Amino acid sequence: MAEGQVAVPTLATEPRQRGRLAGFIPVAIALVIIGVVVVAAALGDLIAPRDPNAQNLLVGDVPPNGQFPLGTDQLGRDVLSRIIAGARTALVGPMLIAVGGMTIGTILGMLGGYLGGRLDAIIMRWVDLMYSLPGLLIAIVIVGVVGGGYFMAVIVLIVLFSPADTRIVRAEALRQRPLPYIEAARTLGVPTWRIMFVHVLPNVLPVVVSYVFLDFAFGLVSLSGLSFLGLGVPPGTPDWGRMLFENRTVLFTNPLAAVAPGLMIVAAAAAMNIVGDWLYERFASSGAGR
Amino acid sequence: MSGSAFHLLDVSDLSIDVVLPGGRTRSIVSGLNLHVDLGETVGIVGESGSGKSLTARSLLRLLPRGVRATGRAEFAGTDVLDLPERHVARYRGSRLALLFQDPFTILNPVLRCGPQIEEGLRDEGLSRRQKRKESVRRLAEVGLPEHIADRYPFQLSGGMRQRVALAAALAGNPELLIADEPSTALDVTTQAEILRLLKSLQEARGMGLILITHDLRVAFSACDRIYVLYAGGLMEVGGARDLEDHPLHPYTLGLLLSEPPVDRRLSALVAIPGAVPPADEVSGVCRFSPRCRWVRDVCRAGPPRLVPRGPGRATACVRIDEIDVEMVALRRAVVAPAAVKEPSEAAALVRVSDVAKVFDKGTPRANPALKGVSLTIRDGESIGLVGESGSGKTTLARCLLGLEQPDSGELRIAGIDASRYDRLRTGDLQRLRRAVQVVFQDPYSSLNPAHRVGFALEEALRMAGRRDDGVTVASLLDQVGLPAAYAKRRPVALSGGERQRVAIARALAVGPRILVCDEPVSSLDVSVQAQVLNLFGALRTELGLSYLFITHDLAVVRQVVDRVYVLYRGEIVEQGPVDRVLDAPEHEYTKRLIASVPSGEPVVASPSVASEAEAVS
Repeated sequence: MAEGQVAVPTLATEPRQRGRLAGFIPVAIALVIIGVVVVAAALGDLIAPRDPNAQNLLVGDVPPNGQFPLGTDQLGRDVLSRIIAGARTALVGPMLIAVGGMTIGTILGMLGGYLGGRLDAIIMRWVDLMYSLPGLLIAIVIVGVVGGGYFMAVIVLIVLFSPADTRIVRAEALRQRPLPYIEAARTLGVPTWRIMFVHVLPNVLPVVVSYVFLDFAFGLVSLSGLSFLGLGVPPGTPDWGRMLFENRTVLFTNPLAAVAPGLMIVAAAAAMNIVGDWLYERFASSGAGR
Repeated sequence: MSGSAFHLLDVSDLSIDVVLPGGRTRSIVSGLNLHVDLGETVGIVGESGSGKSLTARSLLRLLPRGVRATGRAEFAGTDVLDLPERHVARYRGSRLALLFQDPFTILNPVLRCGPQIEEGLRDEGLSRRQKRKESVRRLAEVGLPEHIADRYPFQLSGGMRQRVALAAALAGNPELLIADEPSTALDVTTQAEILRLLKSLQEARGMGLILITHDLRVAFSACDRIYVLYAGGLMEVGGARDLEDHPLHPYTLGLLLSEPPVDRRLSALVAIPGAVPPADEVSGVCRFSPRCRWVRDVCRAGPPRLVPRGPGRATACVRIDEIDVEMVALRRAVVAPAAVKEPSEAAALVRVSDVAKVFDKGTPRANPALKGVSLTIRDGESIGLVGESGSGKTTLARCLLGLEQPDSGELRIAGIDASRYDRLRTGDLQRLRRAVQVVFQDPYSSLNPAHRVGFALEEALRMAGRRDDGVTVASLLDQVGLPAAYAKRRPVALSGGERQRVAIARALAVGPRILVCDEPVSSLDVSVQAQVLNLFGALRTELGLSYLFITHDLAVVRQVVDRVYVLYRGEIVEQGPVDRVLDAPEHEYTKRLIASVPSGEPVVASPSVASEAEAVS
């Protein structure tokens, strides 16, 4: 019995170590991409070569050239500058969605999973209800009918994302609950709230963090999707999803005007995913979440 | 050291390494020589980290990815380590088969037992009916009736599953069977039956058998020859009887001494200090040298080779000639028995009256775990609660700790009614929490992996409000024999024995009067187990603690307990002073328990039909 416990962990560390060396290259690339997006979002106007909203109807839509590295859209606006300016909506919204959804999910998941009982039943019925709704469709209807633009879309997506997060955190909390170290804390008389926050939460955290990054990726894609449909950001705003929609008309004269923002969405989402996975591995190897 | 030139299996210079990124390797096993003949039972004995399971897997070409075996392993003339991948499948099962430890994961849960045996039958072209007939015959061989073929694994007990797994392993009529801890996960009474069955099948079929175990007593009782493996290297080889009578390596001697005897109580066990090191750290020296009391510079000069010494024996100890006399003397010296404490007249600390508990009450799965159990623990008394899995012993412990609520009956601890923890007043609850504490079985999940040792102990001290009494994290660590610097460590950086010590320190932090210990040493290595048992003994003398020791291991009971309660299917069937109960058991079940402890006497092969009185659930 004791044999496996000692032999297996030593073996299990091997693929992880190998993965850490060879696997760091994609992580490094992902970190660079995220870094670029963050810098662009923070300094947008300062580093953009031109005013992203300056129209130049005389130029019209042109393919990339010395003056416009990524060409222009049909109103003659510089695509590169608009992509840089669009980093802000690409970062802030998904971040709010991921953090907000996970905060709700963590609170409800911990309560339901650790305390159980009727509270858990109520929370899980709510989760089931939310699962039965066609998420993005609801978002389209609400944002379309109520209006409210970008931040309304963000709020709706927070609510839509929280059930999945609740489920994940609850499963982790449930797994922790019968473990001897939790029971030992109960026997010591540690108050319930302290067990939840000091004993259970740190062990749930690796999952929480990795899902925050996953949620970010999904949030970005969903938000961009809403923008593409004309919901969320108002017309004319430099936003990657919006650009994808607006610039599809110039696909034959300057394909980069639509392709570049699309690639940015993919790159940012993928980068977040990779970093999330990597962080999870790091957490797991440091002993938490074992 | 080989007598005849040809062996059924002849392993020479086997090394197993983990291949690290960049092509570096880390040694798990090195320089292993071993042979098995037809009709022979060979034991590989080793603690965790010895590499015994990976050795078995390497012979079946079942090593995990990233682990590499080199050397030669000739099976009837073919080097199996060199066998092309496409021949491996035919070689497994028909020539060599492996029986795994865990009967609960060994069988496919969605297949009935019959087909799982048919899977391994080698005669192609059998009709369905013939296959069925054959699988029923195979079930009979392991002592199971025909209807088992139509059962799913989950409908069977652990012992029965292990029998089905054995039948499946033998379906291809292998010439050599490797059994990796085949009885460890089972109850004591079932363990003995499985060992007897293995032995009788080996004799009836004339096959070779390699029995891998951590338990010397099991190896002595079942094997002809024994290989003692430690941290990836062979320490000693010899006939079972020779090894038991006169070990030629300090490690073997240490194992023998740290094994608690079931027939008498010792004042303290002779434990091997420290823990098993990773094989890689000690591969350049005598692997046992860091823990050996006879270590000299010569032991660290280089990796010692196995040197023949007498017929069929070999030892890797380079100093054996010098220390042999001392080893014999040490063995003689420690047999001094100790007396059990006189029956206590102190007041009752814990009084359990007629406690009953049914799980899944009111459902078809209703499972009565406790059916009216009464027991008393006096102040300062050490009580054993003995029983097999499902006897209700853990349920009773959990009721005492307030982790479970009894349906009826009364629990009083230190004068407080502890039947319903949730109805207690805050002051009483606090007094109760400080009176009774727990040590769990699994040291790997007893400590929160997210917290450092110091944090865990600090919290326990704060809960008890004892920080002003001069009790500190350092003094707690000292009490359980750990250096104060361990406070900064995380549980992952501790060995199993060290974790269990920290768990004990955490329980002691609140200054309890009674420790409930649920199998506290059963997942520890033998050498470490002795250390922890000694610690329990010392703490009791020092602090006047009471213990409720829950265990299936009668040898442990003999060492640490004054009085025993035997629990069987939720009822106490026998109780009394430990010597009386173990030496002159009155109840049928107690007698069976005691009879199934491997004594080191050779196992008598049983007729193949089981005497096992297990009901199909």
